Amino acid sequence: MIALQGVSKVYPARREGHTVCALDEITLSVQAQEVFGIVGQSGSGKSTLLRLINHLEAPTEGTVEVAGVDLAQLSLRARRAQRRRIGMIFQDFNLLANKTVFDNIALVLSLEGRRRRSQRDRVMEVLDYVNMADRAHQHPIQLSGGEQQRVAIARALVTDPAVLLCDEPTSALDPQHTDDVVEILSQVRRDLGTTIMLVSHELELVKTLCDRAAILEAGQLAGITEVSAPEARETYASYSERARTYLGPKEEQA
Amino acid sequence: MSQEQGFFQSLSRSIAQYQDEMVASIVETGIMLGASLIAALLVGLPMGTWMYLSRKNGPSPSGGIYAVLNAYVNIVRSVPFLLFVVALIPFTRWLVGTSFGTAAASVPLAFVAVALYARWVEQTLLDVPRRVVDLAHVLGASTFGMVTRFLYPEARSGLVLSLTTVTISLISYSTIMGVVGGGGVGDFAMRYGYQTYETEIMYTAIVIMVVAVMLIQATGTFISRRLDKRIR
Repeated sequence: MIALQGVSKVYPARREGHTVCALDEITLSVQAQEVFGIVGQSGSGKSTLLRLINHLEAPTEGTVEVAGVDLAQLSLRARRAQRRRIGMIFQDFNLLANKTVFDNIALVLSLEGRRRRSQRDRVMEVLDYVNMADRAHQHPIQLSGGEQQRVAIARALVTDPAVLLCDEPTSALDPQHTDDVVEILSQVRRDLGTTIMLVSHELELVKTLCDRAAILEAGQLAGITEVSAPEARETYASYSERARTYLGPKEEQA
Repeated sequence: MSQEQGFFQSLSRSIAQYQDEMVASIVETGIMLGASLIAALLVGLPMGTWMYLSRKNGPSPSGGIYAVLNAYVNIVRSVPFLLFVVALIPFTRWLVGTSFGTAAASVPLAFVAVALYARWVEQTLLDVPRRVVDLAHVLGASTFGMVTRFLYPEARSGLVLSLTTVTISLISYSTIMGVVGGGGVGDFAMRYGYQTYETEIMYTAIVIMVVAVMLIQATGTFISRRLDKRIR
């Protein structure tokens, strides 16, 4: 579904002769419906790699194909249309602060040229999918981080993308909200068969969600590994329950 | 009779005497402001947006376009306004048929309004987080879509506040329009207040302007707050 062939990304020199090589000759491919992780420390180039997939950054060398299409070869207009087939979620959620939850998602359909009237059902459908339908008319500031990320996932899913790119989707969240997002992403892979590419430095997240993972080190591919299924994860109904279990079983009488 | 009563009596007498001229001058200031604000919105807003887009590291960099727009803004803002008005007279005459009167006075004011607002728009858009531009790209928006559906909605409270600031600056600029017969409150204060030694009239005009500025600022702040959903 996603194929990178000898991809390098070099940033031009600030001073003469000091080019920065963010990615060096990366070749890898991701199967359809696979959940593929990219791990690495800060500065290893993992976010740059993700941004190459939907051509937010153009590769300096090599080719990037998504579903057999190389975005670099397309006209500007065709590239825009193709980009909407690739959903993306961000570390900082990236919802528009001045628009309601509903309008944040309807915006995507407007860009596709869908009429206002036909947008409503589809928006409510995806909001319902992430359990946020009752918050449709609130603004992002009124939501917690986890809720904002759920809305962002709904926004990414509204066009029925074949591929979903996740850039550190839980790094700004506390553990309880991380669980919410993990739950929804697992649900997405189960129900929709979306190919997911997930960048994170949190190994636990990658182990929970991914089938395989690439390890990046200083812009070079240090290996691709099969992720072994994690032991059954405990899920907690609430933050207080999680805290109680994690911190210690003995409880004083209240 | 105390001094204070004397002042207020002569004030109300002067105001009664010049009431018609005063109202007329307020209308003239209104016309000049209105015309230049329309120019600011129709020309300054797109111009400032274009500067934001075309600047180095902007969404669609173009050194040439930026240099031209930037030069316009800098030149218009740096020429002393009185000289600018005079220097523009041939153009004004060509455009409105005369270089004298309220309509003619609106022309140089409109040029300044465009330059001021363009710069403000550029700065305001620069305050929109870069990730919003990324998002517009991810969602496949065209440049026009990026501006109208992403940047303007996110920057709208700042755009209103900066238009408010431009309006207030224009009131100040408009006071010298007496030199080309533009009239307005400033001209009224000079002619009937300062030059005929009716100090009360001059101070009345100043008070009118102060009150107008306060009202405009309060309105701008109110609208901007209502539009801003970034804070609870």
